[in-house]
Amino acid sequence: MADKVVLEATRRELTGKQVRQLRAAGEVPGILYGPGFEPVPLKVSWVELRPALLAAGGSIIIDLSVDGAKYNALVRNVQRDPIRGDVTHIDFYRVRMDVAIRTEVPIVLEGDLDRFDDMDGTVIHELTSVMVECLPTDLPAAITVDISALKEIGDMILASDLPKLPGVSYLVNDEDVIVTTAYLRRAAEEAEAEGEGAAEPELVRRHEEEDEE
Amino acid sequence: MLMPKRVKYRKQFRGRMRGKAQRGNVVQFGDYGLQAMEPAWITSRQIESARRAIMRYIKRRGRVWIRVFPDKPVTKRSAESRMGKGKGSVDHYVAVVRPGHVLFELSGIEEEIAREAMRLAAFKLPINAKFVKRADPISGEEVQ
Repeated sequence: MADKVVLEATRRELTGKQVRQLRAAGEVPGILYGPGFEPVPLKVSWVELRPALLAAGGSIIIDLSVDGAKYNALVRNVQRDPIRGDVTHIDFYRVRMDVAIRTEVPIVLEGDLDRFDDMDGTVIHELTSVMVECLPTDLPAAITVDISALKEIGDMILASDLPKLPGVSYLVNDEDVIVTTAYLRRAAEEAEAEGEGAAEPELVRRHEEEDEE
Repeated sequence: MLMPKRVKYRKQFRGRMRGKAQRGNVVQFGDYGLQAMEPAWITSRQIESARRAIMRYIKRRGRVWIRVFPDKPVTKRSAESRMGKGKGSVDHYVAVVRPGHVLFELSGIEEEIAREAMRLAAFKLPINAKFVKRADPISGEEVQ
């Protein structure tokens, strides 16, 4: 398990549209929840939250203190403004250290990503995160996949090839593709072909559907 | 050009374009994207033109995703016709785009090439659009 990140928060009384006042004052509204636990509305200073988010991501446990009370929490969801990218709300999920949790962990590729350039190919990272189930103490910060096993274009790494970590089980189909390799030119030509062909759209008529039945 | 294969109703009301894009506002498939900064109806011709600009610049390397689809029919009255006599016939199809929507995505090429391809594509669109990179949904950090 990676190191904990420490974050200070305070309870918030403002709810609903009033939380805009908090955002204007440089604070981010959020909530702390978990199984068998009364949700706690809270607010965090953006200046403190930003480095904590960068350090913890969604897979490192945060030592969250709310008005002095300490909780172990994971960042479960971050709402952002779609244009400016500002964090508008944050969800913390309270974890019990003795109960297994399910969470998404990012997949990080290790190795030379440009090695297929000479063959006019590329490495395509299909699955960028994977759902895992484990005790919070066993939770990995990221899952590293070594791409040196990819030798030719068309080779792929499947979910069944993910490294076995003690106490961690992957909630993913074994056949799911993590990384694959493909010819760049062919992919572009397929996209080209998609754009062609135009005709009048067919009208879906209700009586036709009834006839089919 | 992109257009629906089947439609349930041939003509639609115009509707409104208020608010920001609540879906399709992050780079999902590729490494780089072109994000709309304004609301607009983007026609299938404009989408096709932008796609060609990208393809031409990246010299058909890399992978391109088109994240918008023109599914809204726009009608037009025939030339010199008098008012009345019902709604005009379908002229073309548009995609309703709100600020924040990622219109195109690219992967498998260097950032400078992607940036220039997206800049050229943005000239073909009726709106301001900015270049964006894929980011981690939690930390917001750019993903390499």
